[in-house]
Amino acid sequence: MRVRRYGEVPLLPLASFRFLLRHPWQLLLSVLGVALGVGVVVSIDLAIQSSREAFRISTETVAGRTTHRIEGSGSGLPDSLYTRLRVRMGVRPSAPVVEGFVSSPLLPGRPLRVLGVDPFAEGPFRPFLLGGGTGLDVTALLSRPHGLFLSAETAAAAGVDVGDTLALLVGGRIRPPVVLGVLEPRDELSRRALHDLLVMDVAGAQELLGQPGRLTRIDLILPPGEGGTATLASLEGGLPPGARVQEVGRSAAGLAQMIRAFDLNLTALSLLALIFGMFLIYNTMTFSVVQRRPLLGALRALGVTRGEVLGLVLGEAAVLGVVGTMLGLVLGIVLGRGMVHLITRTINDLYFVLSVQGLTLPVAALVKGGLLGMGATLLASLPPALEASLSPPRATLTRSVLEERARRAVPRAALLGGSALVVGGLLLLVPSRSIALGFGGLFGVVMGLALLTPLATAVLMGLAARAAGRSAGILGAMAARGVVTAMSRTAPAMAALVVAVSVTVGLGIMIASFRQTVSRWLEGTLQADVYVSVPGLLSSRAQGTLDPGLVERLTGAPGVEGFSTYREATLVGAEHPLRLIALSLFPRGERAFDFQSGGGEGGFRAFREEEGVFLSEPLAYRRGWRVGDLITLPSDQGARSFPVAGVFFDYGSDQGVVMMARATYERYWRDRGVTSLGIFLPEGAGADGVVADLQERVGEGQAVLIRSNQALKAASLEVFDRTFAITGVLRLLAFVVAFIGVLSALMALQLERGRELGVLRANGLTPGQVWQLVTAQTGLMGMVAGFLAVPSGLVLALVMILVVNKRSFGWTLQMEVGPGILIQAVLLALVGALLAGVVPAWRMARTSPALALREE
Amino acid sequence: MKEPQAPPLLQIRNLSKGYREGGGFHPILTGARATVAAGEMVALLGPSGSGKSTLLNLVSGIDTPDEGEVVIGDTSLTGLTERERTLFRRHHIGFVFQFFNLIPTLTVEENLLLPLELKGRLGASDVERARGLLAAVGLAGREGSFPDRLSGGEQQRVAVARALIHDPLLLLADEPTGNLDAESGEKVLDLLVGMASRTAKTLLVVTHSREVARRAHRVLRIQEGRLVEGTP
Amino acid sequence: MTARAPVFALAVVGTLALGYVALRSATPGEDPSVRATLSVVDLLRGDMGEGFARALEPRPFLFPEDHGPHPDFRTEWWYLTGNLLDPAGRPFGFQLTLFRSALNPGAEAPGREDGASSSWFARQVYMGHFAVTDGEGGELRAFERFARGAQGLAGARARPFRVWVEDWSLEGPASPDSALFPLTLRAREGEVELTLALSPAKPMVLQGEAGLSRKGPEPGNASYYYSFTRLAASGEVRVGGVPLPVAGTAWMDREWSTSALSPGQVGWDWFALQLEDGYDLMFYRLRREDGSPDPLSSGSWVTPEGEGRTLAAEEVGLEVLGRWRSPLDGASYPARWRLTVPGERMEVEIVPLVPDQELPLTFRYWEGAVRVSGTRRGKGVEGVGYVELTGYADSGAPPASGRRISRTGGG
Repeated sequence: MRVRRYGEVPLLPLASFRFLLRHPWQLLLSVLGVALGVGVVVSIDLAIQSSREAFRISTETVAGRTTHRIEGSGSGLPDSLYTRLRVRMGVRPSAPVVEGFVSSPLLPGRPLRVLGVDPFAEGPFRPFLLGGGTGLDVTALLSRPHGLFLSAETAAAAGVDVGDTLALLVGGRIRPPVVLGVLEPRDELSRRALHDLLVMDVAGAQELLGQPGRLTRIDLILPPGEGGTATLASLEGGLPPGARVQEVGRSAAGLAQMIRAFDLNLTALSLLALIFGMFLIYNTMTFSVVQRRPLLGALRALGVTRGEVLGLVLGEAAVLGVVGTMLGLVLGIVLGRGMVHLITRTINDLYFVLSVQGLTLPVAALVKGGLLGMGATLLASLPPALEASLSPPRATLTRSVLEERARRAVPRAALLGGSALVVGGLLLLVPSRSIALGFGGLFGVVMGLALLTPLATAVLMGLAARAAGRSAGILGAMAARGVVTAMSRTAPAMAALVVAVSVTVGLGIMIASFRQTVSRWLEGTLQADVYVSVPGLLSSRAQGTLDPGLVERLTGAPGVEGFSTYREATLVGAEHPLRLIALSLFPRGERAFDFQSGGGEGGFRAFREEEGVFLSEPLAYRRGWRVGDLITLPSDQGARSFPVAGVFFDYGSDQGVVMMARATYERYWRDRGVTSLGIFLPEGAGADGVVADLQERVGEGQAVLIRSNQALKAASLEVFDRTFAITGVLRLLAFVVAFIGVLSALMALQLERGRELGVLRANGLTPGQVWQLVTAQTGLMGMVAGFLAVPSGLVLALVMILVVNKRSFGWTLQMEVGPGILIQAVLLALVGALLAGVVPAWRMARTSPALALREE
Repeated sequence: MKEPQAPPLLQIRNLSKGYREGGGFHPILTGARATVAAGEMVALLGPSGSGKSTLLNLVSGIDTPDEGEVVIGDTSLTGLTERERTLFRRHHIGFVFQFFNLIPTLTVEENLLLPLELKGRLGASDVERARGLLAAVGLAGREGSFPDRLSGGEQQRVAVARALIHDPLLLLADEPTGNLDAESGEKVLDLLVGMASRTAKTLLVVTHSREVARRAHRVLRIQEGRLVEGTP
Repeated sequence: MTARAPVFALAVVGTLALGYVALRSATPGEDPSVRATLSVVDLLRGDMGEGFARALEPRPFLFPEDHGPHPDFRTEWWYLTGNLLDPAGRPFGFQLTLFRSALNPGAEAPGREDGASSSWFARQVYMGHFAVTDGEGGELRAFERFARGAQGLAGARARPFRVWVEDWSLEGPASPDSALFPLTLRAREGEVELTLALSPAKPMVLQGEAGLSRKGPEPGNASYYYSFTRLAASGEVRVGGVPLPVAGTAWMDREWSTSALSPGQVGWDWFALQLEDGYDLMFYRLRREDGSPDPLSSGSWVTPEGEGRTLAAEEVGLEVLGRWRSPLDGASYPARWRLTVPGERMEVEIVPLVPDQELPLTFRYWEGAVRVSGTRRGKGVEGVGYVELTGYADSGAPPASGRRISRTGGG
């Protein structure tokens, strides 16, 4: 016997603690629920923070102490501007930057940032390039401008050392610059800033990236106050058309803006997992309170106050919360490592090149996750805790009274649910672009559905009882009635199950609709038979420039009927970076456009002859531009206006794109490159043979991707699936948490019926019949939940497609509902519920009725 | 039957209490009056539904009367808030329930210590006191057992000890033998009466049992919502 | 022997320091912990002299071409110092030095291959030192600057004459006949600004042996060197506040070569004096590791008509009369001298215009305006001048480059 020293652990909490330990299954499941909920939220949060941190490093840290930047329109700045600043205008500190992304076969999957700098101008800007280790050796860099410096870490990963060549893939060509030096970062910040950074001289970088005469930007450090303002004023007058000075923070903010909607959606999805975790806690605590009702009554009679009872129950919840949250934080870090890869991939596919160096663990994020976990736990436990504290002293309230009260609450909950549904619906109908409002409405709808579930359950169970009574006898009817008579327990479990399954259904339908829409769009948009492009880093867009000679060779090949050319440029002078595609279209290629508004015969005339532009739907939605509007774009000749001639459906980028006739483009921009080619073959000609033939004509030199229409479509869908991998994972995780919640609730329900089942066993029910009874009941619940989840899921899908997705990304999706996903939903609920019955049934069947009866 | 010699410890003054049920109002008590002297043992008799438990709830401050007043010692429960009544109960009332209501997750000894801990911090003398009481109820050596290892009679003996451990003014027992076999009931009753009189506690027992009533100093009956002096 | 070897060494050191300075925060007060240790600077190794032209024997000078750059030689500079007065008599000293240093021998910029077209490829790097001493404010303001000789950022050319490091420049008239004079000097950094028109008050003087200034016994260890010992200067100076009109005299040195100082030399004291009676004197004393003056020290004596003759070390007496301590690290510099030239019966005392004229640049040295007074041939004489003192401060450049001073150019 253990001897306790009194006065150390108070007796009431001790009693609670022992109670928890006596119900290990519930304990385990609810801790797991909290842990998973917190884990998912924290992992997403960490992954988002890591990607933001990587982004911050790639913009701010690499910007160093830069305060302002001179940026050009699409093709950068003439380098003579820098000379003018230094020699004529005396603007300093100022530093030229040539920047671009390349990859290396030695570092697969890691985009490398080439930073071309003038070492003489660098000092004040990016001291991390120079501090520690060997630092940049200026004379070496100037004497051998084709060489580069890189961090020790990156060098080690690539297995190169000073004097080796580092093979780089640039615009389809392999270039072998020599490693001149290895930079040893002086501190953590430098280490991160130098990650996958290749430092070269301006000259070498211009050559490597194929942009002689152009600078990506000129970095400036302007003093705060009057001096800076004066310099700024003198600069504004002296810049060539198309160039502008921008504060560093602002251009970074513009980029960061791009991924905000994406982050918001991920966060909302991750919170869903936490809400399911809350259901779980609610169930566990309600169960434990109801189970101890006589005990709590006795305590009250003994003089324990309401406040003490409240504290007791919340204390128990807090213990669960602390353990679950701690586990959740660990889980979050583990999951986060996977999430950050998924998120990075999506960002790289959809937005911009980002190299995330793994998970950053900001203390704030962990604290936030911890508070969220504890807050959610306590919030979910508050209703049962309040109920426990309000229960009168002594066990005057019998179970039947409680259930009576629960049954009376059903219509009230339904009424509340109906109102939540209406409010949610109204929020969704508010004409706004606010994503948060969209999620608010969605939350209202989900809450409404959850609160309506008990009523629907009661009605359906009543029907089931009648049906079962006829077909399966008294036992069947008992199973169905049991659900209704134990409403205080079954209602939350059913609600959780219905919401979980309907969210799964909704997300599933949304993703499937999206994919179907994209697939159909690709079918229409890929009009050419063969596509030629330079292999790039961003899979969602072509980059680089095709050799002019190659373009001639390929388009002149026998069997080529005609071709379209595409030129992609990013206009950075605009508020946010804007993607521009200059097109020269083969007539058949015009069919590629599916217009939401404008377009058609007149639209194409304006496009060809009147400098009209076509906007993709997300862009038009985002900026509120319409057909007929004049939009202003930063050209190489300064700001120019172009009329909008059409808005077309496009699912290639949620940032949107402006399409312009090549002739228009060449009128206002200096650039003459071709990014990709669409080659048209005569009707009926097989693309595969032509692809092989064209491949042969490429010969040595530039590596290009030549793909048939079908191959490109397949590759695009592959990218699509990749970008949605994270959504799929979140959907799965949310469901797992909900499933555990349901498992725990149903299991608790059945375990609690131990006495009732013991009576039945004593009255001659065989263990097999107990199995049947338990299984019938949980199965019935699963079935009903599944059926309820189908319409709810459809409603959620509709909301996600029409509101959330449209507002977040600007896409119009056609809703596609296959029977598969609905059957899947019902099965999911059924299997989940049946599984939940296994343990209790097994236990009940094995326990001697005497023991069950004795249990009080 | 003895006349009360000590000053009144419990005064039940004109208590009325009824419950709403469905559409109607069911009066249970209608102007019940009684006075119990300190050290007196009173049995409360009456058929099921006559209002015995209701009266007990009112006396213990668990429930409040529609009319009338309960005064224990110098304190009128009627003027107290719910929290004050709870704290009054904690300090001055001991309870013995029909279904024992020991805390299943506390050992026998811990169950005994709980009322003391509620009153304030535990000291070493409290443990001694608990062990002494356990021995007094014939359960020496069982202090480490959990209640579910005890028989009903044993559990109720623990409950008796628990009701007495914090030296209450008033001891309330609700059918203390109602859930026990005759032999165990007898034993529990012996203990309850014996210990109450030994410590000069005022004892109010709600019971159906004539045996219990027989051992009381005085018998009260509930008749049509009022208390009348009765015979066992 | 050479006239201005110290300056040559300075240029070498400066180039060595390129790697360092470029990396250092340019703005004063920024993080001083940001220091790059230099890896081997191949450029300045002795064997890197190979492939460059060398000064082997006297050559005919051809102007204006020789005012322009000589890229086949490794190092070259345009060196201007002078003393100015504003109308109220407020004295100023100034220095503007533009150095050229070749990265690689050969005509082509490094890395140019398969039709490369970046205009940033450079074969030359340039360095500038710019300092103004305010005799009234008692303060010296000094700056340095580096740029590649490409992309128009820095460069030198003979026709029309222009040498520049960003917005510091020396520029001849834009006329097609390409004279050097009138020469315009422009330099500006922050609130310090100097604009001067310069024209010769005396003809050019070829230093050493008809312009060949030998540094060591080995052939080729020499430079080509000529000077304008007296230029009339007028223009504007601004040291904060409003620009002031100024006028005075300046001194210009031109030198190019491929190899540098001998081993064992730790520093030098260099004097360029302009006397009121029209005579100019240049003298430097090289100091050896053991503290003794190097016998290679020498100078020149220039008459009012511009006739120059070499002064050997033993023809000049130099005595230190006082010292000055650098507030930066307590390094002790000589601060007053008595200079005697017995052959000219000259004895003068040299006093700095202000004591603190140390240039706190990458390579730390003292270079400042001085006042001269004394007697020559029995008559009282006054004058102005410039003095350069190196090798007294330890810090200021990375230790490696300090050591390298003595190693470079040995062969």
